[in-house]
Amino acid sequence: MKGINIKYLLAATSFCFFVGHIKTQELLPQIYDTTSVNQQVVISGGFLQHSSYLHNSIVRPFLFGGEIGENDKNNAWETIDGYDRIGGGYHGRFEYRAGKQIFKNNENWSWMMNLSNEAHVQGQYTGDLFGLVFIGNEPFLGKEADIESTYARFDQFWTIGGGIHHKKTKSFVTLNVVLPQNFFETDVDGGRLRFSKGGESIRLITDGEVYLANQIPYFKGIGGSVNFDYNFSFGDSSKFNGIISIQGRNIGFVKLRNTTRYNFDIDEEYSGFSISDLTAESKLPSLMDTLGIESGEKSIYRLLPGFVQVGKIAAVNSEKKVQSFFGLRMYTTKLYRPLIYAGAHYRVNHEFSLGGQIAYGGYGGLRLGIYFNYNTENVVVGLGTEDILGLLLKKQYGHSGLIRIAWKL
Amino acid sequence: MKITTQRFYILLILLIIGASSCKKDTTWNSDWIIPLVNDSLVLSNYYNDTTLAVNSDNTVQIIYNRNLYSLNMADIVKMPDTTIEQPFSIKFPFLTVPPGLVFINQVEENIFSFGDAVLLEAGVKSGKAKVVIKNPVPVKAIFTVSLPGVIKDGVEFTQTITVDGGTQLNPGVGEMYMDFEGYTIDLRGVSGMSYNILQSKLMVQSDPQGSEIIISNQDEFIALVTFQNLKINYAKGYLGNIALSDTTEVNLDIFNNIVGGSIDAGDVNVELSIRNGIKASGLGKITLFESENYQNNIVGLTHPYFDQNLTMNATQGQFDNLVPSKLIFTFDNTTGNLKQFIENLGSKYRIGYDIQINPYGNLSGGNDVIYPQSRIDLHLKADFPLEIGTDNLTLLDTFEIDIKNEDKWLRVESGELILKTFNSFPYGVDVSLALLNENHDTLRELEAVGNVLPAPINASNDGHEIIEREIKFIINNEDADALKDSKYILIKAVLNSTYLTSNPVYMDDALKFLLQGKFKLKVKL
Repeated sequence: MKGINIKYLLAATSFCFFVGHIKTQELLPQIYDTTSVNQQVVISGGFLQHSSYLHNSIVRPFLFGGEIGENDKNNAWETIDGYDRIGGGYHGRFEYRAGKQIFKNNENWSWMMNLSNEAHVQGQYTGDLFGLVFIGNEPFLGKEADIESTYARFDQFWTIGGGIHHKKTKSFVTLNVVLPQNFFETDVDGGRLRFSKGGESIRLITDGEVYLANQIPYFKGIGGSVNFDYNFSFGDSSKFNGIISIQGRNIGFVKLRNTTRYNFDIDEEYSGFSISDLTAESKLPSLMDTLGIESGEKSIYRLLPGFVQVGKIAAVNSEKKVQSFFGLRMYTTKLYRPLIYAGAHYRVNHEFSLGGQIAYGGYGGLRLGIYFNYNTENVVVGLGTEDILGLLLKKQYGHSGLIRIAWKL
Repeated sequence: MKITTQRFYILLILLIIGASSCKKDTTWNSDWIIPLVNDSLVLSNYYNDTTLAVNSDNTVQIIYNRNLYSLNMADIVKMPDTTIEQPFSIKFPFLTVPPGLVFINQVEENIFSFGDAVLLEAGVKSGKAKVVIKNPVPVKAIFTVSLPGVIKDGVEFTQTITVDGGTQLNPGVGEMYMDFEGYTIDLRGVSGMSYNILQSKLMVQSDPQGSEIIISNQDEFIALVTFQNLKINYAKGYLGNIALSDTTEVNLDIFNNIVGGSIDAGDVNVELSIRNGIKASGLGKITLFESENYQNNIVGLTHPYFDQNLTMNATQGQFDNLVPSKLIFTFDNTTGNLKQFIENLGSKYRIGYDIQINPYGNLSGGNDVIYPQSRIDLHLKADFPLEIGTDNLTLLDTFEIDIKNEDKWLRVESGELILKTFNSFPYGVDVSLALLNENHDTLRELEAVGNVLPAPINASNDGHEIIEREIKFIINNEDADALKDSKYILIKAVLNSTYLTSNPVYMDDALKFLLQGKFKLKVKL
């Protein structure tokens, strides 16, 4: 029976709370360019972290290193009301759009390919669990710590695929092979830890399961996904008009082969070892045996952490100095809540544009974002954040950074 | 402008990469209190065995009743592994044998050697014999091997085997195994007047389904019997002159940990005896009884009858009603130097003995008996009140530990070990701890705050009051640093009784303790 590696658990726990490399959405309101492009290379990347209650003062030591101070821990612990949800990830994507016509009857369709590496982490935990991890059990002596409905999942994977794109509308669809590199999931159904008043005994009552990716190097399984953009215009010039974009990324599933599954249903009280335990010739029973944790191998299927976003986007060729954009985004993950956003895009001149947005939802609450766009005949560079206050203030609840570079060949 | 912008982006990307590659460790501290060891020493768990008893006033009496050494005589009187080749043949020159006729039915005697011993009867505890039968005639024959006088549950030992035919040069061969466990062997032979003789009987029958044959007295039917690992548990006869002389060592490991201090044993009564459980008389002598303590100080116990040949009578009774005879040496505080002997707190005891069975020959007329229960042993019996006084009695013990207090992941920064005790013994304890490396060198000594106090007798004089105490061992940063190199923990306990003498221990006296760790843990990722 494999033992649970404490380092793995600590690493996973740290991931559950905060990760230095965060999942991006393809936000930076994509500037809709109706110019027909022959060939294009797009490189995009970014990171995101967002939480319901956890201040950046706790998260940043995980991103950049450093000590989490006593005041910050205590403040965070007092702030968490019930459960905290936290999520994040990173992505880096390469995309090539060819210019060659592939359908006889429609000169705008051509082929494309994309390659990406992504990670996504999401976690849900009680304030009590935060307190145990960061404060210790002293405040819980004589009390019960609630760790019910704790959930954490971490995915890291490559995708590679190809498809077709419309050179004018920039709509596209690609089919992708998904190659998972890492996976971890824990789902604690019920969970309580009782500490006696003087710390003489600890009682653990919990049930749930843990999945760990197999030990095979490189890829832990295989999956498939679809990426797509569908852009279309609405309205006419006399009324409210614009472009609606429906985007989907990583819509698919993955099969994780031979994951190690730990299944537990524990009701155990520990009050110290006896002298005979410590002096016996035979070794102490393993923690897993004592707690009755069963393990086995199981292949499992999981939805990828993909997203669908529907909204109005700004157009680069618009004559308007100011354009609005808004929309709704939803991830195919357990903990993400629907996110709505709205903002304004301002064209400074033919090369520069910038914008700001307000968003609510996802893993937390309200955030303000800004972006800058630099657009020449052959190069488009975008840089932005969905959480400008998070970049500046410790009392905010997230971090975000996005970059997109496109070359028109 | 374009060049400036591109440089800006490149610089930004380099800064991000540089920042992420220089990421420092993430650290935080948390405070934990966890139970480590939880146990108790409760005297009531030891009543009703042969060590402790309770007096009418609730005080505890030590009743020590142990064999120090035991000789099983059945292991001394052994049946050697023996192979006997026994030929059988007809008495006539020729014989025409029809199918189904028994044409050989002979009893032979086999002699066993037991050294000096002359045995008339023996009981077999375990052992087997391998029997090889050789058939020289050209037809199949049925061989029945019986052992007259070898009986179990009233039935004589008999086994039958069919052996294929052969020739004188190349006989048919059959094998069988006989299990003698539980059999009694009459060793008096066919006449019933002899000794050390095992009878064997062979019957040979021609194949009832075969044809008529002619055999001669030159046709030798051979039974090859090999006795293996025969062990007896009962023997009757003359056991011979047996001399047993040796020095045996008894270790009391609990006293290995004593490194200082002294005790007062109070009124002690001890009885040492040589017990003879065989029905044969002899002589017994205690040549040595000495105690060696942690300082290698040796105290030899003295007694007026030590080093003298004393007569050991034969045991009385038989089998389950065996009553061993005893040579008893009694001691109390007025006999010899018993008090000094006990207060030496020896962890090694050496006892020398010299025993002879039948030193004057076969005086019993061959009526010596060893029963399955027969033993000759050295027995120690003690019966005295447990009221030992201790004066700075110091015990040391080490336990192996393996604490991975590395800088990465999880580390004890500082803290306390808290020992909570509930003591109702009349002994107080000062405890100290030390961390040792793999060579048992002291790395750190952990400072103790507090101690265990001896419990006073309660108002009704039938027990002790429970004294609750808390001892703290401070773990500072230097101690925590030493944990990762620590391979052993040394525990030193100094015991002092309420009084130097006469400290009665009561039936409900107990020491319950809980060792807790109160740690400041540092997580580093």
